[in-house]
Amino acid sequence: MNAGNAVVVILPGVVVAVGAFVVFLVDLFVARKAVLAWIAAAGLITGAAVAVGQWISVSNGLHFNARKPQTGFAGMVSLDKYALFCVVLFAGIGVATIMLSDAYLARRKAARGEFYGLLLLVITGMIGMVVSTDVVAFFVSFELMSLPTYVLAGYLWRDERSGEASIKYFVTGAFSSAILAFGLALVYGASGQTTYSGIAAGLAKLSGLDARGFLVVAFVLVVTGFGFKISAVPFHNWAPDVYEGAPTPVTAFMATGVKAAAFAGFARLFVAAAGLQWQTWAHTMTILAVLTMVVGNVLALPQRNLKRMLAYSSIAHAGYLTLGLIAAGTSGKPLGIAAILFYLFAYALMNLGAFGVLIWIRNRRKFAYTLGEIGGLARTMPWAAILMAVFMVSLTGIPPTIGFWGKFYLFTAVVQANLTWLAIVAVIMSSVSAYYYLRVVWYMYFREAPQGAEMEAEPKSSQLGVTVAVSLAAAGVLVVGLFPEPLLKAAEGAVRLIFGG
Amino acid sequence: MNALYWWLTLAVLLFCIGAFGVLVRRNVIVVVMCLELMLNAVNIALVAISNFRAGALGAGTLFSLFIITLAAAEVTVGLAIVIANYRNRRTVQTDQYDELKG
Amino acid sequence: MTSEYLTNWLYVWFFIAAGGALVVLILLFSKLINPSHLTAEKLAPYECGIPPVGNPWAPFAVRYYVFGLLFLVFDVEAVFLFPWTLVFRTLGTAGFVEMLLFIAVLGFGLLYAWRKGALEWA
Repeated sequence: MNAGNAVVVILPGVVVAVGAFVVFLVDLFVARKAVLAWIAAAGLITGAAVAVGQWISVSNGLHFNARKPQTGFAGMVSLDKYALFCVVLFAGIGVATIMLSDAYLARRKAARGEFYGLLLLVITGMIGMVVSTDVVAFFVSFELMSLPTYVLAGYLWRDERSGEASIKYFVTGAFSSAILAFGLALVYGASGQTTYSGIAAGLAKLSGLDARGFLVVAFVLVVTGFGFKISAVPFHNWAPDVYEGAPTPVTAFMATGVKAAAFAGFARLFVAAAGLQWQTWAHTMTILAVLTMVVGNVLALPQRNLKRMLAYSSIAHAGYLTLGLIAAGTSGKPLGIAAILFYLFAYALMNLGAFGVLIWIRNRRKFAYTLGEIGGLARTMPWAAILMAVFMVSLTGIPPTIGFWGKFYLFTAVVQANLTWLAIVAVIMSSVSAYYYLRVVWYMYFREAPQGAEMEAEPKSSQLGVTVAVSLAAAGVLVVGLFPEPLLKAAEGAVRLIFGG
Repeated sequence: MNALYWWLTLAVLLFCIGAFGVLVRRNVIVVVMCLELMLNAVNIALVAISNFRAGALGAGTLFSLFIITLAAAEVTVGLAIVIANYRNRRTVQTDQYDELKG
Repeated sequence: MTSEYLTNWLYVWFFIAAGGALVVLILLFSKLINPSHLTAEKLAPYECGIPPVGNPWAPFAVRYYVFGLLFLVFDVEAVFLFPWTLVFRTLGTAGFVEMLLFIAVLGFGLLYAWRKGALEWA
């Protein structure tokens, strides 16, 4: 194995990691901290540009064999369109998070260097999760993603709520990674190998009731670790507290970035390593999906705090996304995974937008994220209200928004896998969600502003980043909502190679 | 029955003791210790598998090295978070972290 | 389960039982033959001959933890150096450069901690 080739495989991740170190280094020696956001964003954009370049060269068969993924480090990592698609998505989420957090952090006089550095390290871990084709590399990336996130959740630790969010997230997160590690150890025990393809081959040779039982235990443990990270019911208890207590830009990032990486990474693990063993984990996954959709949506109904409401809604969306895995596992067709990638993209746009509007309001006036406080927003901040309405409509899944197409493709994949009842449950649950999403719109347009919701004088720090990020997200929601084809084609192209090894 | 099963039984027992501790204990420091116990159970399982399972590649030992370092990093981050919280509230009892609920 | 395996374990159990019995025997024996006259002088703390000051469970200054945590990370990361030395020759230049990078990253962490004042006793 040529070491240079191996580095090419992980180049986007390397670029982002180098970006993180440059941010830390510049933070040590430069007094003007405003430059840090630009460096961090530049690192992410460079990483995404490298990924796009590799995508083009993979598509055209330049340098790479288009039929066979380029692997490196003894098969531990693989360069393919699936990973590249996710890299671009993660980098986009990262840039949006930077835009949302700069004014927020400046307003709280929080150090920005460590925030951006840690953010880039999380994204490095996220990229690692989708590039990995070996459970060792996968677990290390998983931890690289998780550990800085615990710190970010408690970044404003002098605020007791942020500190509490951090400690709760750490305990549940570390607990779930230990469970995942044990599950992966047992998978290794069952198959004798650690690469995904090796595991698939090893498991195919298994026979006998003992081995089958062993495998079920292993999968239940892995699915539990996965369930904690994506906040699936019954492993969801931490999510509302952590989402409420964490700094809002971090919440936005956890709900979109970390969740997207968990889905994309685990989807790859499940499909490439355990796709043939689908029947051993089908039931676990189906129960998980139904519970998550129902409990997430129902518990979101009574929430008066918008961050908590979005937390429960994010649980519900994790349920929809799990349907994609079930569809792919049952039918053996790649549409389910492609729908997951599409939905992750859609979900990132609308959720970053929704949290972005909350940050926007928070930067302009006193705001405790309650529903009553956004009454009359249509008059005080008309542009923010319109954008928020777009995101809420899209989260509900009403055309012509990206949210509609996301759900459409997911549910189509489920129906094609002959699981119509599951699709019906999902549709019913998304109509339940209309109540709490559209209630936000109702409050903004038809309720009076509460007492004391006056704008502060224009704040010192610029709101430009937030405004641009939220507007771009809304534009994305609408444009892809009108023309979903190219994104779906890209997602389908991304999954074609990994599906079925 | 062979030696591997005994080692795996040990690993499962340790893992369950750790998991029980995480779920039951209220002192964060003890919870962190229990998390370490769980990860060490994983290490025992990995090393046992890579040693005793016929046809297993040596990757298990490698994995356990990574888990040792990850556990150290995890404990460092966790204790740092605990210290930050302790400065705020003067307690390490999890049931007194009740600001967020609903 | 083979009988040989069980026999091997039998030795272990016998050893544990014998060890436990020995401890009980010795304690019992010393209790029996030992005259016991407790005086205030005898009950005084033995070590160094002075009464202890304060509660031994008094909390440490939180600063110790910062050093402890830093030490823990750098100490444990060194675990990668040991397997590396075993295969150093077969890895060649690439392996050497990789390990240099790894150490550089660790060194960077130390530099960062130093510049941020984590190593100051203040």
